[in-house]
Amino acid sequence: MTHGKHEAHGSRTPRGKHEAHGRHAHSLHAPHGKHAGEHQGPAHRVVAMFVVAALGLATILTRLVVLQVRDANALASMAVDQRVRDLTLPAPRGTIFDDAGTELAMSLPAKDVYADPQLVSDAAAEARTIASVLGAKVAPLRHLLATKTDAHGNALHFVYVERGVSLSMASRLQQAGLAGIGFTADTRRYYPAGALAPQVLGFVGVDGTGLAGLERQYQQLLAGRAGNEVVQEDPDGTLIPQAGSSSTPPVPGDDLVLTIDRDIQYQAQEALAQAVRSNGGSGGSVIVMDPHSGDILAMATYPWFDPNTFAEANPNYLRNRAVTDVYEPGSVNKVITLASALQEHTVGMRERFSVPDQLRVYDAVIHDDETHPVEQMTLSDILAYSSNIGAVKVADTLGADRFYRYLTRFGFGRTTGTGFPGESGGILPPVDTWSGVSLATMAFGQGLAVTPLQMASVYATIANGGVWVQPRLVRGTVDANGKLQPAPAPETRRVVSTRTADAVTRMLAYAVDVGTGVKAQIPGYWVAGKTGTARIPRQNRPGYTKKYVASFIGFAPAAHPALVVAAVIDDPSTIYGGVAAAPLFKDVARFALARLRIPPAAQPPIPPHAVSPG
Amino acid sequence: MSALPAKAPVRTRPSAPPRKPPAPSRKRSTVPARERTNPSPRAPGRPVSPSTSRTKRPRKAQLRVVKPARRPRRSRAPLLILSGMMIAGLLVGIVTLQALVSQTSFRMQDLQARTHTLQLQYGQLKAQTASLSAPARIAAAARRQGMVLPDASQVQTLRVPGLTPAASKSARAVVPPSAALKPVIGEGT
Repeated sequence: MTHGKHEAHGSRTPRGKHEAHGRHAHSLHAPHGKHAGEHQGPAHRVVAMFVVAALGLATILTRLVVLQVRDANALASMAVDQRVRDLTLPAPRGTIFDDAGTELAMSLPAKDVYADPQLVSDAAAEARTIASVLGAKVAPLRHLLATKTDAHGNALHFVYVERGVSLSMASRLQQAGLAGIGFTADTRRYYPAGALAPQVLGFVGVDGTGLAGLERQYQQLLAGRAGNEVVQEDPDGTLIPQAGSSSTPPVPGDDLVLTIDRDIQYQAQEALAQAVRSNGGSGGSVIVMDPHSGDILAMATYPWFDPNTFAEANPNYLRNRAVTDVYEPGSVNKVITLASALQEHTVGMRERFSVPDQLRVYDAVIHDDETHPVEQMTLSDILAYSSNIGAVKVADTLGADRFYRYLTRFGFGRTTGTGFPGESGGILPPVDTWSGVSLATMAFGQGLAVTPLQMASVYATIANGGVWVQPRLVRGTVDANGKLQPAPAPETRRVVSTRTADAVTRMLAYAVDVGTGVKAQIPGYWVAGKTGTARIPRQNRPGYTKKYVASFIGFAPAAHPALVVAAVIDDPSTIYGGVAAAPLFKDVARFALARLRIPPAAQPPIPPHAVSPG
Repeated sequence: MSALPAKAPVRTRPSAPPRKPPAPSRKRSTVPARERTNPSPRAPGRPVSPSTSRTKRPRKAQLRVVKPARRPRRSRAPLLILSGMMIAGLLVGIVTLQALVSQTSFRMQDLQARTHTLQLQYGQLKAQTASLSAPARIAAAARRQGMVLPDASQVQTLRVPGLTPAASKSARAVVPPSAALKPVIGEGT
């Protein structure tokens, strides 16, 4: 082979032949020839090539070992980090529906806008752009974007610019292509009817946690359970097919179906706002309730707020004062006095009381609202003309212990059990702490405090034949399968007999027919109810202010009660419940009766009375 | 292949005693005699019995060791072609399958994105519907058109046999329509 090669070279030129021969010769005979020095060159080159190749291979091998052994875990981890995304799948918050299935609160997809101040090139210009899109102020935004370190001097890389931004706004910002501005997916709570039952519904914070109302009470149920998904993506964010992924789907929150009727709620709010304004009041509450089921069809508190912008609202307007705030009920409490006495048979329907216009009880002098000579009054007259003295005399027949027992059985001194956040149980002093006048004052509704809802429940008890029914705002929940899970049956307890309830109903209807509640009468329906005018006690010290709470609580139709309405106005210029609150009751009840298609009912029998009407 | 024996120009057979059975290899020899210069008595498939060798030895001068006939080889081309086609087919199949899977995967992603978009639209439309049906908006729109709420005393509700207020209330106690879609939509309704 070598020889052949030599011949091939030799056939070209003699010089080439010589050189080729020489090269060939010293490669073969270098140790013996005189050209040993010349013969070492190619050998060295071979060796050098071998060394270079060996070094190259060694380098490659070393690098291979470094990559595959030493840094293998780190690089594998880096690779995983680059392509694997562990995504949190937020659980959609449940919707809140009204009684007819219309959305009152719902969650909508939104974006959180954040900034990396280190990447913001022109804070002022970007702040102006963001402010114009979001409708925010420029100065705070500029300061936010220009602040590149935190209080400890560390570089800031993430600050929220705005949370819960609508998709349309976020899209406009994205199109602006602002440096250092990013977006993350989020949801925002939306109340499509605006300021409709805001204190009942409550509101949700930016982190999706219910902060007030039913949103807070049913936070766990509404929130659901977040899921997660692990996927592998390419640098463009496209999923890598067949790369494997795991997913735990989120569990959507359950929906709430309320007992609230949206139309009755709206009309109650409108009527309440009108009544408060026309009477110069500072606020008020209205409750519409089904006395048989305990369903609350409307619960309004004025002034109110828009839960879509709750952060801008007056904090005093956020409370559902129909449930959280207490007031001294005044004369509407006389219904408990009379019902208890009738139930205990300490008085009779035809029994007549000698009623002066004032009465000394221990160290206090109790007055009727109007001066009048001593009159003979039956229970119906006492209720119809709202005689405080008459109520005191009736309560005397009962005694403190029995009266206290009925007050508690009607639900005073404890919450109604709705579970509403901040619900008050009212103030009912234990009977062993009562003073000498406590029984007398409580007989006409002073010296104790209740919520409007507690008081509405008392009248619902009478309307329901003497059985107290726990009020409720939630009719049921809808689970992830779309199945309605009815709320547990409300707690019930009999307080007075049906006979007693019927007798009290007749007296209440008489009070509206000829007494202080005539302005609440709805022709054809025969309303049963009672006015209340109670002084507002001073804060943190004994005694009363010169302010009043006017109220009217009743039900209709008197013969077949279908709904209870409680109307309470705080500090009206016209202090009497029969003037300020009774028309409000009428407006609300009349609309609700028409809305619920309640047919008229006959007038209940007129109870025994001693005072001639008129 | 079968044409090869016919092309053999010379076929010499050594004369052998009639009692000896002809060697199987010679019978099947198809190679020209001049090429038979390198006998291979231990060629595979042609066992030569010792007794046979002994009987040949005295006549060695007359005999010529022939080169064992080369077995006619069948061409491997069809097998190679077939194998190549099979491998190519498999490769094409695998690539096609992978492409289909990837295509399906991308299509699934597109559909998921579209589903998500539709869900967003559904939510937006629901919110829009709820906003438009809000009592305050309807009342304001009615007022703008000069409408007024009727005096409730002008609305007469008649007692209709068979339709009690309780019955009408229970009729409303149904699952909200959008809530019933929860399992279908798969997200919050």
